[in-house]
Amino acid sequence: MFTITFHPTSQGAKTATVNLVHNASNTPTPFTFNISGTGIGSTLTLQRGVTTVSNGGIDTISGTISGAVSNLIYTVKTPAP
Amino acid sequence: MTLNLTGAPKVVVSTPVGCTVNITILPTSPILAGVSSNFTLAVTPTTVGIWSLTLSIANNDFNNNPYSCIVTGTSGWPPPPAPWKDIDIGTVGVKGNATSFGGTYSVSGSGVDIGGGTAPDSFNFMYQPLTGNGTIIAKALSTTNTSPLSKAGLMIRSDLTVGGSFIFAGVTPTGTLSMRRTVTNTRLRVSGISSTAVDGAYAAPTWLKIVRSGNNFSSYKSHDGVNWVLIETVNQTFLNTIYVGIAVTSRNNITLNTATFSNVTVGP
Repeated sequence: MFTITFHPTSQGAKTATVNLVHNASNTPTPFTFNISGTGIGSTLTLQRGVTTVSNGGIDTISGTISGAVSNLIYTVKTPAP
Repeated sequence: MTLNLTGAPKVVVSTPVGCTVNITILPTSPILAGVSSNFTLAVTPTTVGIWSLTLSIANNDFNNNPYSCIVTGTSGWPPPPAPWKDIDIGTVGVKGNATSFGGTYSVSGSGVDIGGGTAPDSFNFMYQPLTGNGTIIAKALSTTNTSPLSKAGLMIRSDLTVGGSFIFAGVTPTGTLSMRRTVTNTRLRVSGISSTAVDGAYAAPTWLKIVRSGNNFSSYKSHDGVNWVLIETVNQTFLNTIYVGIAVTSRNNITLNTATFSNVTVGP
């Protein structure tokens, strides 16, 4: 038994060919079969409170004071399927 | 689909400008679909003005990897250092405040007046206690012309109530004056108010000083902080511990008079 792991690195259709070289007499070698899958990836969204912070965007914080710490709480999530 | 945060650390902060930053709580990973995870940035601006940093989150969102953004803000002045405190005295129309940065103090007050008119005093007071004899000095850098007789300057005061007695030496938009109320009077200026004329030769920026020696209070003005000109000396019975600081009234209760001072010292 062996396991093939599918690890897509981009979205879209993915294919691969598996060749098994063997010495069985009843089947040509290599034994070949195709596998395919679809990379669907995930979706990251970032928010601070109710403010959505886009990728490449600017999050402007108001009311900060020099020398005083501001704790900024961000939420990372991915939508429900 | 499950979201994986693939960086180490999971959130990377880079290029902080004008601030220090720590990630005090990191997000978890993986994050299941429909679930969220929080992280916390503790940002401390180290300057007055604009600060910024860059966040980057490596992940398995193929269209947004890494997910990055700029976090920025404009930081204001912090409160003055201890033992300074700040209070609005009387019924002010706009809440006042005091801040300081780099040796400059900014005190903002609304209010109807200090020691004038017919309504009770109202103003902002940045203060600290003074026990026994002492001197307060400041250079009045600027005041806002919210009224021809808006006032900003040094005050020595019996207490923090609206009817307290006081000595005041400060600037109007056009010059300096010294005032006092000798009577602690909960009915307010029924008696005990006196004031010098405004001296236009000492408009801001100008130096101010009040010296307490027992119950003698001497107000001074100066162009350079070295050569002092006596405005007046008054005798007034105060407790041993009183309050000294900077009082600011806009004399126009719908707006703030923002006045700035440097070289503020309270000493023996």
